Amino acid sequence: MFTRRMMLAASLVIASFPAMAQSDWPDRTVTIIVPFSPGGATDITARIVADALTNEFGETFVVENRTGAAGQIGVEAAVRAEPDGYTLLFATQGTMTVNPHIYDLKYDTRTDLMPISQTFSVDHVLVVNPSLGVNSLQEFIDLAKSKPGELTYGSAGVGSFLQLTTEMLELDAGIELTHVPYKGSAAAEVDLLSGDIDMVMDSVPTALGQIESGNLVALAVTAKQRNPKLSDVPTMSEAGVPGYGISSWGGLMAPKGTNPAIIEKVSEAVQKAYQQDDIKARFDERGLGAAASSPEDFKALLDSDYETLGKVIEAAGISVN
Amino acid sequence: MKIPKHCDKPPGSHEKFDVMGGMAIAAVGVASAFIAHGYAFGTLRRMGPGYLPTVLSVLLIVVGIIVAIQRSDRDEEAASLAIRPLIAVLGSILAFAVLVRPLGLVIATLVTVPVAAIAEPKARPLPTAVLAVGMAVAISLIFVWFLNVPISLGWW
Amino acid sequence: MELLHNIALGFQDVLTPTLLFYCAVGTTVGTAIGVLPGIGPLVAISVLFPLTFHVPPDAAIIMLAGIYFGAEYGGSTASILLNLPGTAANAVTCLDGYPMARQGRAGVALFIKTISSFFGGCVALIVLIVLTPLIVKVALNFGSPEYFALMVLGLLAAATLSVASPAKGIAMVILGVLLGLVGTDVNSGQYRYVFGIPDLADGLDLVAVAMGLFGVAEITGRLVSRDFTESPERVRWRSLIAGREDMRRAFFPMIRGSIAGILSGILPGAGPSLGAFLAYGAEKRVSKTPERFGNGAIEGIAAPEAANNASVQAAFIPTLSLGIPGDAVMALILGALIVHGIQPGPSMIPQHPELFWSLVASFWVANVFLMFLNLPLIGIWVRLLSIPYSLLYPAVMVFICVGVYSLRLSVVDVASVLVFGAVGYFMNMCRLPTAPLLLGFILGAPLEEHLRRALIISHGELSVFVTRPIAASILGFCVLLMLGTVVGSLASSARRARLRRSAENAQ
Repeated sequence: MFTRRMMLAASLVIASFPAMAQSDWPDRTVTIIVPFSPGGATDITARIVADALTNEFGETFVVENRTGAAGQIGVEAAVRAEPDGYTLLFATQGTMTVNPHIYDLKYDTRTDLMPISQTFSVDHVLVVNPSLGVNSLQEFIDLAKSKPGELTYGSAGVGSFLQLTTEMLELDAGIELTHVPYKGSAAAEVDLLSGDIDMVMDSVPTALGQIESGNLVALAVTAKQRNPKLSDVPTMSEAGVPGYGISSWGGLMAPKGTNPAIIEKVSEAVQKAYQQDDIKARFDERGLGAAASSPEDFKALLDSDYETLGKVIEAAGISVN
Repeated sequence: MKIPKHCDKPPGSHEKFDVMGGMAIAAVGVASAFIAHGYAFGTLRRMGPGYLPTVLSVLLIVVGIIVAIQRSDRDEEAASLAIRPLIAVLGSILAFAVLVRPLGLVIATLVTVPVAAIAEPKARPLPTAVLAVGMAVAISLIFVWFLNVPISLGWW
Repeated sequence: MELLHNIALGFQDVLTPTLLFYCAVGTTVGTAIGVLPGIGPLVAISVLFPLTFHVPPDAAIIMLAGIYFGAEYGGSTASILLNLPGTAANAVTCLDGYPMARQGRAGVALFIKTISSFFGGCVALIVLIVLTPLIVKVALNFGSPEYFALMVLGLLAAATLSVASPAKGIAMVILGVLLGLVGTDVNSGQYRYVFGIPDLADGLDLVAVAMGLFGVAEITGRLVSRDFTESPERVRWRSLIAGREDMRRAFFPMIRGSIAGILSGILPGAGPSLGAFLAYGAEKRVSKTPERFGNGAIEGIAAPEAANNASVQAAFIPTLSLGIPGDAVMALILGALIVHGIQPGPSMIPQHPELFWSLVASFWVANVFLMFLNLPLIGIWVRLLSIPYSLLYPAVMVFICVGVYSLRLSVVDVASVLVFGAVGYFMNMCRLPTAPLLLGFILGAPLEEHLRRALIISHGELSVFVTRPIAASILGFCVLLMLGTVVGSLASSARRARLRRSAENAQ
C-alpha cells in the first residue's frame, strides 16, 4: 500500500536524480484523453481544465476524444500510454467505479491508473412531472409503495448514475419502480415531460431549465448537501431517506508508473486554478461543482464510490454479459 | 447501382446469381439465429435482447429461400467475377488497416496506392509512384496538419 | 408584430461584416472538407469544433453553421460524383445522383441539389416562423409508440426504394436491421454480435458501412467491368444549368421533400436522414414513371436534398427548446452553444427570442452563402470527373481509408469498409439492392429501442400501438401501403404472365 510516507520518500529519492525530466516537465504538448464525444458535458469540462493547465504551465494541454464502449476505449488507451507524464486521462465516476463491476475490463482502474485530482462534481435531482400529483419525496415514496412496480423511471442506460441512484433509493426506501433505459438523459427527460414516464434522477445542469420553468417538479437532490441552484430542494437525507448522499464526478488520472512528482505538480495546478473566480464562474453557470483535490483525497473518493456503487450494482442485480 | 455489363453470357445464367444471393442471405440468417440463441429471449410483452435478432434471423432465412427460388423476370446481363481488381481494391484497404498503427500514416499511404493500382494491368510504375507520394503528402497536410487528427505520421 | 420584430432583429444581428466573414470561412472550409471522400459533415464538425472556442459566440455559431452546411454540401457532391455518401442522408442522393453523373449530367445534378437544398431551408424557415409554438407541442406528443410506427414507415419506404423484386428489398432491409443491432442493447446493456471487439460495442460505424457498400463496391465493380469511360461532360454553362424541363420536374418534389424534412426535423427521435428517405420513397410512389428512379431521375435528388436541409433547420426547435439534439451534429452544435454560455431549454424561446432568431438567421445565411459560393464551383467539381479513372480511384481509396480511420482512430472501422466493400460487390453481382440495407441499418436500432420501450412503459400492453391515435394512424397507413404494394405487384405479375402467354400464343 502506498502510504504518504512512502510517497514522500520516493519523491525525495527521485528528486535526487537531476537527470529526471520531472523538473523540466512539461516541455511539450500534454494530451488529456477524454473518453467521451466532443460537445458533451464531460468534454466541455475537460476543455476548461485543459485551458487552465495550459495557462498555468505555459505548455499546451490538448484534449483528445477517444470514444466508445461507455468510455472503455478511452480509458484503455490511457492505461496503455507511456507513463511519461505527457498523457493524462479525464476520468469519470462511471468509467472508474461503475464499469469495473459491470463489464469485463482488461485493466484495473484501481491499480493501472494513478489519481491526480478531482475536477468537477455534479449533483442529481429527483424530478417528476407535475401531473403525477406528488409534491414531496415522502409522497412519492408512498405512491410507489401503493403501486409496486407500476411507476416508471428513466435513465441514461444500464449502469448509468441515473439508474444507480434510483436503485439506491429503491433499496433504502423499500419501493419498487420499473426501469426504462434511454440513450442519454436528455431523451429520458422528453418522455418525462410528455408524461410517458414518471420520474428521472437527472443531473442538475440538465434538469435545471425545466425545473425553473415549472415543467418538472424537483423533490430531492442526491448529494449530501443542498445544491446552490436549488436551495429550497431538500437532500434525500433530509427528505426521508437518511444516510443517502452521493454525487457524480470527474477527475484527472495518469497511467501507472507516472512520476509522482508530476502528479503532485498537476494536482496543485488544478487546485490553484480552481480558486480563480473566472474558472469557478464557468462551472457555476453550468450547475457543476468546481471541486479539486489532492491525489490522496481523490483516491479516497474513488475507493469509497467503488465500494458503494459496487454494492448497489450487486444488490440490484445489474449485469451485462 | 450500375450493374457491370458483360454481354456475352446467355440469358438465364443470371438465375445462378439469384440462387447464390438467396442462399447467402439464408446462410447469414442461420448464422445470426445461432448467435442470437445465446441472448435472453424474453416474451413478446417483455422482449429480451435476443428476441428481435432471433425473429429477424428466422425471417431472413425464409426470405432468402424465397429470393433463391423466385423467378427473376428481368432479362439482365449477368455479372462477372474478376479476381484481380477485387484483390487489389480489398487488398489496399487491408494494407492500410494493417500498416497505419505500427508504421504510421505516410507508409500506409505509400503502400495503399500501389496495391490498389494492381487492378489496372496497364498501370506504369512511375505515375503510380508519383501518385503515391503525392497522396502521402496531401493526406499529411490535410488530415494531420490542417485538421489536427491525432494520427502519427510515422512509426514513432 | 412582436414576432416579426424579433426575427428582424435576429437577422440584423447576423448581417454584419465580421459575422459574414466567419460564415465565409466556415462554408469554405466545410465544403473543402466535406467533399473529400470518406469525411463528411460529422467528422468535419468534430474536428473543426475546437476552432470555434476562441472566437466570440455568435461568430462561433455562424462558423459552425457554415462548416456544417458546407460539409453537408460537399458530402452530397461526393455522393453524386463518386457514389461516396458522407452521411446517411447522402446515401439517398447517391441513388439517382451518381447515375446522373455517369450519364454526363453531373452538372445538372449538382445544380438541382444546390437549388433544392436552398429551397428546403427557406421553406423550413417560413414554417418555423409561423408554427414555432405548435411545434414543441407536437414533439412532445411523440413517444416511443409513435417513433416505432415512424420507423416502420421508414423501413417500408426503404424496402421499396430499389427496382429489384420486393423479396430482395425486404431481405436487404431485414439484413440491414440485424446489422444495426450490432453493439450494445440499450434496454439491457447486453453486447450483441460484438465478438469481444470493443470497437463494435457501439455498433458498426455508419460512414464505414456506407463507404464500403456504396463507394468501394462501386469502384470494384467498375474495375471488374473495365469501365473506365469518363463521363462525357462538356464543360459549358448549358450543361451545368438544369434546363426548364428539369426544373419543372424538380419543383413539386422540392416542396414535398421540404415538408417531409420539416416533419422529421421537429421530431427529436427521428433524425434528419429519415426525412430524406421518406421523401424519396414518397416521390417514387407518386411518380407516374417510378422505374426511372435509381437511373437518374431528377426527382430523386430534389426531394431528398430539400428534405435534408429543411430538417436541419427545423431540428433547431427541439434542439434548442428541449435540449434534445436530433443527431450527432445537432449534439455538437448544442455543445457549442453551451460552451459559449447559451443554455438551451424551454425558457429559451419565450425569454430570449432574439437569440433564438439570430441562431436561425445564422443558419439561413450560411445556406445562402453556400449557394452563391458553390454554384460557380460546379464547373470545377465536374471537371474532377475527367481525371483518368485509373489515377482517380487509388486516390479515392486512400481518402476513404484515412477518412474513415480518422473518425475514431479505429482499425475496426477500416476493416468494416473492407468487409462491406466485398459484401457490396457480391450484392451487386447477385443483383441485391444495397440502399435498403443501409437504410435498414440506420433504422434498425431505433426501431427495436422504441418497440421495446413502448412495451416496457405500457407494462406489456400490446394495445398501446392502437390506442394512441398518432401511432395507430401511422401504423394503419403502413398496413395500407403494404396491402397496396402486394396487390400492385400481384396485379403486375398477373399482367406480365398474361402478356407472355399471348406472345407465345401469337407465335
